[in-house]
Amino acid sequence: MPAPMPDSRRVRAWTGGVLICVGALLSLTVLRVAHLKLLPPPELDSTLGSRTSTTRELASRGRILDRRGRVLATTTVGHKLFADPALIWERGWTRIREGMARDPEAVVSTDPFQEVSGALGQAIDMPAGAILERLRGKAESRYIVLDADLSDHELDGVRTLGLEGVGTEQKLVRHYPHAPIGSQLVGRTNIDQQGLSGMELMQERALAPATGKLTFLRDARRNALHIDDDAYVPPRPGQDVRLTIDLVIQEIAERRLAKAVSQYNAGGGRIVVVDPQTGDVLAMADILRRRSGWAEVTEDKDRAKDPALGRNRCVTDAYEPGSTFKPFVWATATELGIYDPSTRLPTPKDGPYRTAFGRAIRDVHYYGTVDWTTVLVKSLNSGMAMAGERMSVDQMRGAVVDRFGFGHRTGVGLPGEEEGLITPADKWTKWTQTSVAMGHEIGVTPVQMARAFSAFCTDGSIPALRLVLPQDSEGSPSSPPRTPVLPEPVALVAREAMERVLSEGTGRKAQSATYRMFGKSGTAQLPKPKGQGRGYYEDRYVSSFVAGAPLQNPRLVVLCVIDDPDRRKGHFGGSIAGPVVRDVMDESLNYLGVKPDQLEERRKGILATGQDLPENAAAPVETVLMLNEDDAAAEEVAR
Amino acid sequence: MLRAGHGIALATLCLLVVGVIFVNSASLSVHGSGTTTLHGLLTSRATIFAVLAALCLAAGALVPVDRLANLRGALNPVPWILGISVLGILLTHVPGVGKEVNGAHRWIALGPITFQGSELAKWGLPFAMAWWCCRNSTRAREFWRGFAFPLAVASAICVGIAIEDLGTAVLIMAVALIMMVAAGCRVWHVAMLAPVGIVGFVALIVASPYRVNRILAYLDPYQDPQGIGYHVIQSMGAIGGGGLAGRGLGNSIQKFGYLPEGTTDFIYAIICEETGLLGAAGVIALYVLLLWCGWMVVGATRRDVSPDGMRAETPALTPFSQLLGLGILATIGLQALINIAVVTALAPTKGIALPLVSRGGTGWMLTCLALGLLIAMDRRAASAAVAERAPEGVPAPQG
Repeated sequence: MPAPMPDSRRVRAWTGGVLICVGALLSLTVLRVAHLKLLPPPELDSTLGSRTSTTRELASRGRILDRRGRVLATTTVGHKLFADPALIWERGWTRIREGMARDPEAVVSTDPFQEVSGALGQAIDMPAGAILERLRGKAESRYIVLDADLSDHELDGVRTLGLEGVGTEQKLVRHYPHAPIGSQLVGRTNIDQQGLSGMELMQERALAPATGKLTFLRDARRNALHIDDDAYVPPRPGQDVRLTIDLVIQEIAERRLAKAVSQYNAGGGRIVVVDPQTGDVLAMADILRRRSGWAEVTEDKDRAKDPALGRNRCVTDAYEPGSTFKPFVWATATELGIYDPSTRLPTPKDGPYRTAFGRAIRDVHYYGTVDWTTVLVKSLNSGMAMAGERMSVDQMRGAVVDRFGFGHRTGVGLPGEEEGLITPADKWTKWTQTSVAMGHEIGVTPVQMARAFSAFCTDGSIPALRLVLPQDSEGSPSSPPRTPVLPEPVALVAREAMERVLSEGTGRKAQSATYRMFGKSGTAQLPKPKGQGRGYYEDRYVSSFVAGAPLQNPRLVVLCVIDDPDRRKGHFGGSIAGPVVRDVMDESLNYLGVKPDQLEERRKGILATGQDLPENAAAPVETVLMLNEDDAAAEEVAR
Repeated sequence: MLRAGHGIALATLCLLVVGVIFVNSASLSVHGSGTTTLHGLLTSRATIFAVLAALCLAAGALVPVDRLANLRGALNPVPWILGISVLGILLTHVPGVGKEVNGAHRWIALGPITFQGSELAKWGLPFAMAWWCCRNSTRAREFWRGFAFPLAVASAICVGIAIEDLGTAVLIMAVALIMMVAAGCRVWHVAMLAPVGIVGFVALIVASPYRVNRILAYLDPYQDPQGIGYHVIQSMGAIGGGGLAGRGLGNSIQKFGYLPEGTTDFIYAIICEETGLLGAAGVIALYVLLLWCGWMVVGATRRDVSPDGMRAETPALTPFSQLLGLGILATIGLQALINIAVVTALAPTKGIALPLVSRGGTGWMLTCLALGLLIAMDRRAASAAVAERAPEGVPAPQG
């Protein structure tokens, strides 16, 4: 008889109940899985962490080239050397312990830093002691840069060593092979290869590369697992930018300008060389000389750090053009029929000319009655004032100032370009009318002047200035749009008159023995900077000279502005800025292969007198409008 | 004729295959040991253990269950089973034999074989409990002899386990209680002691910081996504990953170092991530099939014709087999339920594996051995039925 057993029906019932419950609950978990799959908790996404890594592939910034393809700025791949002192220490000690365990006699050093620095000292141009100091100083750090720029042989050496905790990292380095020539124009980049100034800044869009990107799925230890087809964005190098600048002409211009600035102990100087046919800026330079007493109109702190970071005063700072402005008034008056080139003007024989409203206009020399051409050649303020009085305000403002592009930015493509200073219409007085006729009471930028002067070098039209050659122009740059401003005959008459400025007028010191130049000198008083009172310094000047050559088929316009030359050494535009323009013109045209066109007989005369005549030697110096106290009083009356 | 036992074998083997596939898939890594080849998979540790587990299933199917339970004296298996169970728990704390994994002493390393000490008790206690209940069925309704004594033995073992592995202890205790009640103990006896059990349970939680953290992480994993909440969040992320369709077999991302214990306790999350809702439901379906077939064995009835001509349905198995079957099925079912609840963040994290799927050689083998016993019961019931019908002229099949 078997022992009494549990009630098997009860066992069966409980078994069924338990299994149904467990089975049902298990089946319900599928709903939870579906829930997590379809409606995951909103917090999950952000707390789960990333499953991808992204590596960046550097691409080079575009090069900046001169018009002939010479490299002004380029980017190379450099390497920096870094160390992980914490890892060096840890791995070093592991090695030393292992060595101790094997053979204590064989262990030479018990300082991992010393081992590493000793080995590195052999490979790079840095004493082992200095490396050791760096490592010890940051023993806990995980990343220190030991050498920011490894040379190729150093890189090889470091790689051969294969030290643990020492590595090299690629970095891009911007080079300016011809610096400092044109460096202000070219500009600078920051450490991240982004343009800060000059063309580097203005052409950022073209130059900037697109960094490549590779996004990949990774495991928890950052090993790559999978790369999607569209996860790779290849790096795109930046485009090269070809400037209109010619490095050789730029070098000529900078060298000659620097010489003049120091020769005349000037505060600074500016020079612009333009191809009047195309508007290409071939050279542009701006020198500031930290000279005691030289008061800059506007401070430029960036420039104090690095000349390439400062503003380029050829586009940012207006100057008073003085007599260099007269050709524009002269040509317009001629065009308007106010005077013919041969019209005789009753300029005073002695003493100042008095305008209708009583302003005294002084000339340096008084010639008596002369023709209209002589007024320009001898730069007679009186004659120009007469013309100014006979012109309407609209004619002066519109036909001269506005039409030649003064008061309008040239859009040459440099940062911070200014539009110059033009007296507003409501403040334009008779006084202004006569002042502007002589190039005073008006501020122009060097690029504006160079562009406007191009009108005399062509059929009477001015080009749009440019600093960048169009991408598609291979070899033969297409001509940019031109704006007609003068009838061709008037332009030619003015050009001939301005040739006489050099042969018999105020620009005789700028005469070239090689090329027939035409141009105009200008000397204006320096306005006082803000906060130093109103008006002008009596004995400080801005001297300028603008010229084109050769006479028949002008290839270049050169404008030189000398800021605040030392008066003891000279201040007339014709004698200070003129020779700079002549030398730059001679050298540049020669470099461009332009045939000399100077007349033989003149050539001999010029060579005989010597080109750099002393300041007081030549009699006909140009006129300077002296704004003295009498004038100030008269100005009040006029207003 | 297809019987319930065949279904059990089918479901078990299917789950083992799922286990082999996903243990191999989840243990892939980028810088692992060489390339993964078919040959490598077929000779992998998981495959070998799966084959051994299948052999255990067959071995279990050959065990004469009722005869074993009726052995007496030194051959009585119950004292041996209980002794080995206790030894297994104690050995985990013996230096040199016990092995520390993830900061817990749950493992025993005997040469190349490692297993959780509690595995022995998990399968041994139901056997002992079934044996006790059958021997003392008349006293089942008494408090002291029928309820308190077996409970005390089970509790002693479970407390030993609970120190290191609360989840398994709760599982074993729950199965023991279910068996006792099914065998005839009074439900209110259990209910009466429930507060004591709950207090002990809470005390064990509060006593160890990591259990408190697991509760906190369960309540709000986003509080500390990089710390205590990490595991729960990564598990949910794995399940949610790939949407309804899943990322495809082998394509899990979470297994590459993001989800800890991806091959063991959290393998179900990887299954959900790779095979989507279909795979997740498929695994559940296999467990439900297993439980269903188990029920077909345990709950099978025989149509008896009593001497007075009355027909009655009586259970086909002996009460011992029924109780043991209940214990085995409840253990597997509850274990699967708890594991999946943990992985899907429906319950706080516990160290409980997904039976037959999570990596673990000896675990698979013992589970298969237990399931083999169910097949053995089915075979016995089948042959008994045939023997009864034999007088009608059908020869009894052998085996």
